[in-house]
Amino acid sequence: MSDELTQLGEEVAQHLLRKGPQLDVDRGAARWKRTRQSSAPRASKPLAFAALAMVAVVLVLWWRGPTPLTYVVEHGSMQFSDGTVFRLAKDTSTQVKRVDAHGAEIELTKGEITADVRTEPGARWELRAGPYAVQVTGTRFTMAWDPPAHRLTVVMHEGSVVVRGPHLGRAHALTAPARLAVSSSVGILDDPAPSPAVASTATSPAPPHAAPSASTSPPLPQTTPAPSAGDLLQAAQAARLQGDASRSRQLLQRLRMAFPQSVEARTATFMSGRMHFDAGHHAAAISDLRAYLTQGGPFSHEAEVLLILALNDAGQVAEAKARAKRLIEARPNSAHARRVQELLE
Amino acid sequence: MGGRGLDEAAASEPKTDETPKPLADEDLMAGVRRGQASAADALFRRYATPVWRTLLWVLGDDPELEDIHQEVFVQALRSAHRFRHDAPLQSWLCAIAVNCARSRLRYRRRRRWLSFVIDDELPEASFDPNDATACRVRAVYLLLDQLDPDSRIVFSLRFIEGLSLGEIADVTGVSLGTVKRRLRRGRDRFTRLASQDPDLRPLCPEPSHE
Repeated sequence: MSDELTQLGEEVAQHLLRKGPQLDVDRGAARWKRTRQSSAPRASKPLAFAALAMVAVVLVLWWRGPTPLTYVVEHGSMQFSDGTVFRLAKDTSTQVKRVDAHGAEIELTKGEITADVRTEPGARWELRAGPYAVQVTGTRFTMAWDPPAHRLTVVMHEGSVVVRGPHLGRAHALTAPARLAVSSSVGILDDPAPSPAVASTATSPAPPHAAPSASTSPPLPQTTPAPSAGDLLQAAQAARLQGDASRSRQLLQRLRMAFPQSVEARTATFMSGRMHFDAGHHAAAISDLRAYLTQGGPFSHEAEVLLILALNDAGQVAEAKARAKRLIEARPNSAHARRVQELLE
Repeated sequence: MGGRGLDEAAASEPKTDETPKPLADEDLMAGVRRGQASAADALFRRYATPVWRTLLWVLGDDPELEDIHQEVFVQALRSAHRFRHDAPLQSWLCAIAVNCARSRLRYRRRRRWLSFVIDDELPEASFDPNDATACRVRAVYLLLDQLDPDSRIVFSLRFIEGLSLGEIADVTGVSLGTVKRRLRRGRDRFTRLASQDPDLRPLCPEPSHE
């Protein structure tokens, strides 16, 4: 029986060798070269784990951001975790629209609210009533909203606020002691102590009566602080992660222009180079990566590897090989060395 | 390692007078472990043929044969650090090939079960109905498709590739007793099915119950 099967098996083998699918070793080897390049691990396991862990931490921090404030509502007041308190008069109705780490947005739909806002750098508190918005810059004040009359009243006890809405021009600043009553249907009803220019800040109230009336208030300067280098870098990274490379590059460019000497600008140069490389813009990638390497930074090794690959892709093979050789000699065990080693083979 | 045509592995080595002496398998694998592209390429060229044949014997004319062949070497690259020199490199690679083939067979079984399609996996490309041998080969693989993957692998390695039981144990990573058990199971089922097949009946009489 086994002899018969052996004979049959031999016949099968011979038939497949003659007429079955044939292996083309050269073609297979060429394909293998491509397969190997795409499947070869780029980093050793410990490095890969470390990189993954780092990415995870960054992502967690990025997603979490600062811890949002919390609040409780009891005994007719809203108490926030930073110490800010809003006391609600009887029959007052409010709605919390937003709470984040820097403040909250509360809509006063009816009634009266007295605010005692703790101001920290970067705090963003805003109270809304009908078409009006009161931007709190650090203060104690009472605010009332009468829906049938469309009437807003703001009484300042301490500090200052900026009010926006109908009949108030672009913005109206109120600094204690001050009172504003305005109706969206009638106009300013009561403003016995016109407030100073809105350029005043919460911590440095301008002298009273020093500014023109609300209707002639000068344009409000940029009340939102200009983004920092870190903000721009973070926004650029977020845009890149969302696949919006164009916006990411714009933000990186803005960062480099606005903060040319900052550490973030250097990182932006590297990021820009890497993005250009990924997009196949070799000349731009080479330019950015060279600039980064001239300045130096924590990504120098990665920048060198990318520069070598970009040079090679751009046809500047001699320089790519020379750099690759130096890199491998300097760091033969680098995970990136494998990527450039093939240029020398 | 024995088997049909396996000694021809060296035939795929590049042959020129300028070619330096080929690296020993041990050095070749050391290079692979260091990530040397040249070593990985040399590994492929040296063992592409025996790996291909192992896959061919087990799977027949599978349309995915080339992909699976590449996958064997990808797996080899990934597990190069696990290779020990107490076994020949070719056996180690063929063991990987057998594993890949087993995965493919299981996939095919699942796919057949789900789609109720049988004929799409057959070696139709090389089938000539006027060729008696082609008819028998086709019939053999039709019957092998009805064996469980482990029995089929052992059966194919034994009767088509021509390996000894010990070699099969090495390649499949199971004991000699398990090899014998699987071989008996596969052979019995195969011969039982073959005895009902007009192309194979003359070659495979009723199964024995020895």
